[in-house]
Amino acid sequence: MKGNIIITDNNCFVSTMDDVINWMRKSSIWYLLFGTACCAIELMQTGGPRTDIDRIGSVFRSTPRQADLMIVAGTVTYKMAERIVLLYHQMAEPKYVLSMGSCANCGGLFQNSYSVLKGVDKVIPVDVYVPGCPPRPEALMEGILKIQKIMMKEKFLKNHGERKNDIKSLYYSG
Amino acid sequence: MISKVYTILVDRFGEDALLYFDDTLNPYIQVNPEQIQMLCIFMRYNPALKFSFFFSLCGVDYPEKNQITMVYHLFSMKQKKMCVLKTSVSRKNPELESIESVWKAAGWFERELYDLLGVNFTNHSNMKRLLLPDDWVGHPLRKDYEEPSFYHDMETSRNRIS
Amino acid sequence: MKENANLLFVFLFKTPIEGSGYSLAWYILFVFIIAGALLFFAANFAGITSFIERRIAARIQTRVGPNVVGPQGILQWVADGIKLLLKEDLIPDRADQFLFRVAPYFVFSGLFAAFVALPFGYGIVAADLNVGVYYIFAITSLVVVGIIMGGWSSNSKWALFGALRSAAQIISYEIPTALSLIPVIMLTGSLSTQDIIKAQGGLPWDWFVFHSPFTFVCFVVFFISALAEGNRIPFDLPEAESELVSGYNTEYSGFRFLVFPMAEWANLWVIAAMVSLTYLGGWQVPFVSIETLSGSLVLIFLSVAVFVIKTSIVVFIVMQLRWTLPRVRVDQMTQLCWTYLVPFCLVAIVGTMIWMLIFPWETRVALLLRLMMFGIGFAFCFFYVRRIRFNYFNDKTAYENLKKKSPWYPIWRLP
Repeated sequence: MKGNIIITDNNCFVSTMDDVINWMRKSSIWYLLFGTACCAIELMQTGGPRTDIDRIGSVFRSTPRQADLMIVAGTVTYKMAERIVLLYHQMAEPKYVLSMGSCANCGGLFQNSYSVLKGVDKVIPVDVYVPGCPPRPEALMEGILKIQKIMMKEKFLKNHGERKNDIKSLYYSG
Repeated sequence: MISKVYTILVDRFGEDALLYFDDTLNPYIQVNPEQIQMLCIFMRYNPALKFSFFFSLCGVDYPEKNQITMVYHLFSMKQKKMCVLKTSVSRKNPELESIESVWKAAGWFERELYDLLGVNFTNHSNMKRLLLPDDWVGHPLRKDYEEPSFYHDMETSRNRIS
Repeated sequence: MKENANLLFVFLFKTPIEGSGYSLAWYILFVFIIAGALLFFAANFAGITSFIERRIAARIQTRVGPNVVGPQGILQWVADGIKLLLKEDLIPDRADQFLFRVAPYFVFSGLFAAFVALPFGYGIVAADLNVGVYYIFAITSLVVVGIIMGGWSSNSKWALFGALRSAAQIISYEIPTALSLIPVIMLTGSLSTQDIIKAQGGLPWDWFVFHSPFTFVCFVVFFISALAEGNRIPFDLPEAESELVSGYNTEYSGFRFLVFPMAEWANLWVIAAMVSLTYLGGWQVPFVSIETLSGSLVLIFLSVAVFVIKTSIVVFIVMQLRWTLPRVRVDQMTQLCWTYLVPFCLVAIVGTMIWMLIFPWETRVALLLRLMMFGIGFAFCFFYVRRIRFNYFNDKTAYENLKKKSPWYPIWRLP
């Protein structure tokens, strides 16, 4: 916890409090246990002995209600995309999305297919993209560390529940 | 090999219904589409043939010939032999008799073909889409299929349509 | 309880309580102090155990486990708890709002009320009830009411399945749990937890486990069925992740969810304490009689230490079981209960009766038999420790071998 206490006119305390809260939040990122394709195998491996994701306090939760982070691991078809949106809406605020692998980023190998969604960011807001086909476990770990950085920058007490890349802004920006 | 099967089949169904091609890598028998169910029942239960295992069923779209060709791969556990049947239906109104009553597994392949190529199998127990969503428009493995730009408010291309 | 309150009052204010007019207020305050202390203990135990369990699980799976959050990761449970507090509290649209909100409190109160009758050392028990053991069983059954409420009101099929499985499991396992304690109650002649401990001795061959082969069987049965009542892994069917999404707590988020795992880990203490007080001698210090124990404050603290150590060892074994055994099926679970555990218990009850008649506790033959039973038990423990040691050194040599090769990314030092 590198304390960056910003002394402004009235929210010195809020800043440090935000730091503590963000530190708690980043220390236990629980991710949703679901994989859409072969990237899920790497996702399992990330929980294994070499890159032990549990070291930074990340465990899987099988229900979206208790998860903070959604790792979209693999190809997203249109049929699955509707389910992913449903799962995203079922997650409790504050929630983050990590798009893992080329298929989830932009359609990847199956970009010209009739049934594959060209990037999961067409339907849900994505915080971190991890490239690779599939990404190595270290890459996924790096992505989760990036999510931690995003968390540390947020002002939780001031505007929790509202985020810049909310799903509404995605749909209505045109 | 397969010519033996062909002779047995010709004995039963006559010369007109069946054509034998062995100039390809995998010799096949071209079948009249009206007779496909009878032929399959015969091949399944005839003690000399006993094609008990249904390998696969796939469809090929030929827009220039204006027809869709079904390819049946059958395997006989008794003779350790594979047999390929082909039959063609018109592209406008593709309809074929279902062989789900002969091999139960064929029902799934037929649903897939209906899904992707739009071949309508009569007498099938559950002729619905298998892989794609139920409200999908068109049959994507047809050569003239055009992808719509939106599916359920989801853009279907990476380029942003503004 | 009342005596302790009087003693504390005299200690604090230097006047006897009868003279002052505050006796009722003091007693009520005292009850709240005790309740607060128990809650503090239970909540902290649940949190710290969750961290320790994750470390043990990681060690069993040759991982490291949480070691970044705080020194060696010991702040992990604080971070988890506060994060869950900060999360949005979702209530499904079509859920039964009232029951959904109330269910966690039932689970919570059912579990923490059990701590009232649990002893922690000589004379250190919130309420020395004369029906202590049965009080604990009765009150922990309230947990299943909360679980069914939560599962039913969630309006989700997974939650409902989990809740009904939990109901089936707890109802069937209440029977072997209660039956397997009957030998202990027969040997003691009392249901009070303190009396049960006082009837045993400090040395292992004076414990009830080694009284006879029948009580040994009853000990094993009690251990298994206590695991089943606590929803621990060989029997964690109510929240089986591979079958039901997350079982009865599928629709819970935030703090309301936090109550369920907290109760589960607090239940771990209840299980372990019950096992150690009924069969493993409780807080009895070896070579110290109860009369000398009651006299000295140091020895009383020693008795607390003995009880905590025994309980911790049982907790550790329960954790090891959780991370080594696969989950049983529903039919196997009920079959185990009704066709093996219950008949074994009934036979063991009759056997203990006959044993008590033939070999009374004080006789020399009974002591000899107890020593023999202790020898068998000691052999089991020795084998268990040997296996752990063997695996530990195996891993260590494997690690040393790996260290010599140049890895293309770092292998973390195993604890």
